[in-house]
Amino acid sequence: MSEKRPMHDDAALDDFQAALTELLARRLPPDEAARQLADDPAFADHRAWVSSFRPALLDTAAMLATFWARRS
Amino acid sequence: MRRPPRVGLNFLPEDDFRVAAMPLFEAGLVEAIETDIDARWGLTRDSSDRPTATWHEPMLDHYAAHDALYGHGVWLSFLSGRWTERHERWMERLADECRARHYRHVSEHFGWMTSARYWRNTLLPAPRTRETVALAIDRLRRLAEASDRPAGLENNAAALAPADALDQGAFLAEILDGADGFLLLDVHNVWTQAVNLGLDARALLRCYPLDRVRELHVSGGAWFTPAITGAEPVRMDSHDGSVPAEVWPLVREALAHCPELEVVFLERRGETLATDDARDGFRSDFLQLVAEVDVACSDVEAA
Repeated sequence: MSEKRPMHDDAALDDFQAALTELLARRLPPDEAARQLADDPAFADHRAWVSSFRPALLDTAAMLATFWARRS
Repeated sequence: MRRPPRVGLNFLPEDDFRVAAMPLFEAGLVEAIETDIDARWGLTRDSSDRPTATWHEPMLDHYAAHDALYGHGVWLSFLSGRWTERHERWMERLADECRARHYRHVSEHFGWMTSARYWRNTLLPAPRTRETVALAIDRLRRLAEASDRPAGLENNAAALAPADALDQGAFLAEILDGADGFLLLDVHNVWTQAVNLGLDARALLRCYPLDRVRELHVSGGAWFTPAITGAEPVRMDSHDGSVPAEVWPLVREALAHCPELEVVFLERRGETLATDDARDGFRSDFLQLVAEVDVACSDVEAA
């Protein structure tokens, strides 16, 4: 491989993804999930996006996360 | 289309897949194969390889020797915000694999799975921002450098919000233009998002940069009923069923409007091919795909 150059990381995106993963893995009731997405500062950077999540699609993602997600 | 695209199979190691697909191979119909390039090493937490079927490797070698082998990554987690040692090892293994065997191109999924403490998860969409576009361009360039092959991205079936479907075409176009990458257009994924969000599937397909499509995926899936009273079933891209009738018009649309299309693959998970009915359905889907490509090419010649 070519010489290493600095990775283009996005720490804020990483934090957001960690928070979303944690929320999905808990598979909360839809109202509780919506409340956390609306109020939790961890989702502030993308509030408009998370506020538009469809409940059925969020629950589907949570179902898949409970099956697939593995923690270190 | 300058020449007819090849028609092939996403090639899997399960014995049920072998039994289902072998008549197609024996008839000389499978013009190309795509392998989940990181199947042996992508999901393991250490460097240990997973075992593979004895018939699998010689087939990969055969198609590579005929310049008809394609690589599809599954476990990179392309849009994870933080690049980790796991990502770095994945790229190193990709480079090794591409030096050992000739691939026409490589691709990965447009989404993310891993973050912080989670080393595995389902594939999820990322929000479209300037920063995410810049990150993705950098990652796609690295994928091309590591493999020394053209690198591309597959559109995501997963959507949490309408923007995940409505913006995905433009989102991918920005990234592919920035990194000179190609689009792996999965038409079942387009239909899945359209169904789940009440959108017109054909209109959604036309939002994609069709001039950058080099590969198509065609597959089936399943329905999931969310734990929400009165919710409509949600479509999933689970590769465990026959190609739905509604997807074939999208295949035709893509065949007619993707001038750089090189190859079309049918996908089906191996463990879902255990019965005669399932195997017959799989072979029927493949034969229909061959027929669709033939018709599309005849239409072009006649025009």
